[in-house]
Amino acid sequence: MLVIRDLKKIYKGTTKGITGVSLHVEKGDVYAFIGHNGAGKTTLLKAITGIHDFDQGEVFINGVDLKKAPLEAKKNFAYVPDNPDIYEFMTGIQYLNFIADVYGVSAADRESRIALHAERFEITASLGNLISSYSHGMKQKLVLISAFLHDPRLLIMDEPFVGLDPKAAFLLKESMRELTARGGAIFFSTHVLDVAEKLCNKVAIVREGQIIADGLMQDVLKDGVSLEDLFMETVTSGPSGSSK
Amino acid sequence: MKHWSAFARLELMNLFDFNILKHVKDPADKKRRMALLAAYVFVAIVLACYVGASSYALITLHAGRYVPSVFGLFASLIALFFAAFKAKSVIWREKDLDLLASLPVKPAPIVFARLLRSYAEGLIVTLLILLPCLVIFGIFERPAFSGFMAMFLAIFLLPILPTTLAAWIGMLFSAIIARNRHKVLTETLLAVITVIVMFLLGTLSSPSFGKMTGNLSEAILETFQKMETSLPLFRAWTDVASGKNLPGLLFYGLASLLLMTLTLLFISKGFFSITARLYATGASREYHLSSLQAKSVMTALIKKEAERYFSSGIYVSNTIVGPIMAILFAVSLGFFDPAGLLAGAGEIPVTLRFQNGIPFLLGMIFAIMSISASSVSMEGKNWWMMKVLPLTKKEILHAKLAFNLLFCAPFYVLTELILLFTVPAGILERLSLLLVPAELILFSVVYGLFLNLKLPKFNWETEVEVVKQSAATGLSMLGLFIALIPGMALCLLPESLAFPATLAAMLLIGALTLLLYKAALRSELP
Repeated sequence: MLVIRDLKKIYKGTTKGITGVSLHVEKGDVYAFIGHNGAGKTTLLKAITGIHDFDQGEVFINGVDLKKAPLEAKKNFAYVPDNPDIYEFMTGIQYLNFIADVYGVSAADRESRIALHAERFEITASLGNLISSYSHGMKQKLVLISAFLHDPRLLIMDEPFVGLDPKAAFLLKESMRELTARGGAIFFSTHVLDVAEKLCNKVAIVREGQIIADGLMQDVLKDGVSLEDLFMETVTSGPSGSSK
Repeated sequence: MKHWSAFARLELMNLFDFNILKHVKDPADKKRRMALLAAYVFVAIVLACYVGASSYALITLHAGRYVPSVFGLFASLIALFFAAFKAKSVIWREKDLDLLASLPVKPAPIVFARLLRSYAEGLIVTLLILLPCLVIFGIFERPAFSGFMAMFLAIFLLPILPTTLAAWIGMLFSAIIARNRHKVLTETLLAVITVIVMFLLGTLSSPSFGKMTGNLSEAILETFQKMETSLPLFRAWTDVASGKNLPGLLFYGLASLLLMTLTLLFISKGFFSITARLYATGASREYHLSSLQAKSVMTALIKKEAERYFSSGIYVSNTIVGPIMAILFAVSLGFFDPAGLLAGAGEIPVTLRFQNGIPFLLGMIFAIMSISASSVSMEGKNWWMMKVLPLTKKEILHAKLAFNLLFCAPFYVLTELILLFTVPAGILERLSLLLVPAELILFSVVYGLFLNLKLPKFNWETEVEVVKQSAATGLSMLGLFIALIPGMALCLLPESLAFPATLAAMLLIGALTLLLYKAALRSELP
């Protein structure tokens, strides 16, 4: 579903960025991407979604090369950013309609999907209000609903649980499971290691722009070590070895 | 005192993005910012040259003694105009409201710092206008040394009063907007009414050369003498320049400072509550999902552009001024005959046919501030969405162009309808009046978008930085002034050559528009 090969993105004038990142997200995967602040998580997510260009490497989304056919690639995924900076001048429903128009979602499909997800996240009654009047959590819910609008094959999310109340976080996990059950895949960054450990079947740990451990969760977490212990060990004392 | 200096530093440190330019690491970003700075410098040089040349022209027309007062007045009005329009977004800024309200700081240091920033911007404008004017004045008029030095001191005193008045105008406008539910509409209406009043005042107070019996020099002197008797400040400045009224200058400075201090204390009183009310948005929880309609990608994008545009009072008021001025200009053409504009001026060595240049002047007035010149920058932190959605560059840019043209269309039609009644013209003249403004509108829209793609500004604190102060909008206005050159050249041609020359100029502008359009589509999205 998502293939990243030897990806390199260094910000000009600095040594910050990511180097030599290779990952493979398959159908049905819920793939967590964890690392300390400034490790390169958002850089990788922005590079694989086409927001930032990258210096070298390849990204394939559902078999489509992001560099060669960016539009086709983008139709296959939805992106949820770490900060819901969306059009505050629109009302919630105007925003959802706009996203649906861009992805070419039919009127019937958008109605049923908005109804389903807006009800689930308990935001229907506020959809007629300007987004500028929304709380951070409500904006985050709106971005999540918009991400499910075109029924994407792949969901890429940057810290999706930040700002969500416990119920909304639970409902998001439900929606994620449903997507993977339909043959979709999820790749997301998070600092909530408990959630990653319980929810994900695969994990990658990044440090200073490089993947230092990745693979199936049960392979990475050997001998009953928790993800938190592994994370603390790898980010403070160096690589613990990759399961690749 | 610590708070006062800290907030003053905060407001002044990033004037013209200087602090960002100083610390930015990315060479490409640094280069882009240097280009922006160069654009600002270029605009400043053009303004300085214009002031210098105008000062020299006044001196040769024997009105040299009025040069400092005329440009002092000009600088004050410009500073007042900009500060008043920016008052809401500088003094009552929304962005850091929550942060500041949570800090253990009284409002006075915050308001002081923001007034200081407003003053500093006014001072830069005043320096750009008065320095070249005083250099020319000093060389050719040889004023008394004391008067000359007093004028230099005056440069620093002059912006205080406009800054203070602008704060009051801004406060009045902000209070009206804060009490109104339809904030953007109210803000736009207030701005448009202000522009119309200024236009009417300017028209009524300007000398009507057509009715004059003497020469141009006498006409100008007569106007300045009238201003001297009717405007006490104008008389006071003329006296200061001739070294006669130095105590008056000091009194003016002290009175301005006192007024500013009172203003500071007054604004500080209800500062946080007014600011909070100004940006409050109504919200209800009554929405019921009803049937939705699917639209094409282009329609959705144009609709989004429209929603963005009409959500910002400053964006609307700044760009609607051109079309409204064009309508007013079309109306005013019914009240005077351009052909006889300088009939009584006598002295001019060439025959000027202003009527030949009217289509270009009208087009320039209409298109002077294009929406597209800010449309990319106005995306701000939302720009990531355009990049992550499955949209082509062509779709994104075409939507921006299309919205700007659609917005101009009704104003253009109205202007042309008015011209049918106010300007009697033959077929060729009518064609020029129809086609030239339309082409200049198209040119300004394409040129504005091209500039904004090359000089985007995504990290802004307030929309004013994009709409009024960005290099793209500054250069787009300058470009329209350059488009006026063919119009001015046409004024020198006989009637028989006017239409062929107009066609030639249109071909040139059309070719330039096409080139800019292709370059915009070729360029990478920032």
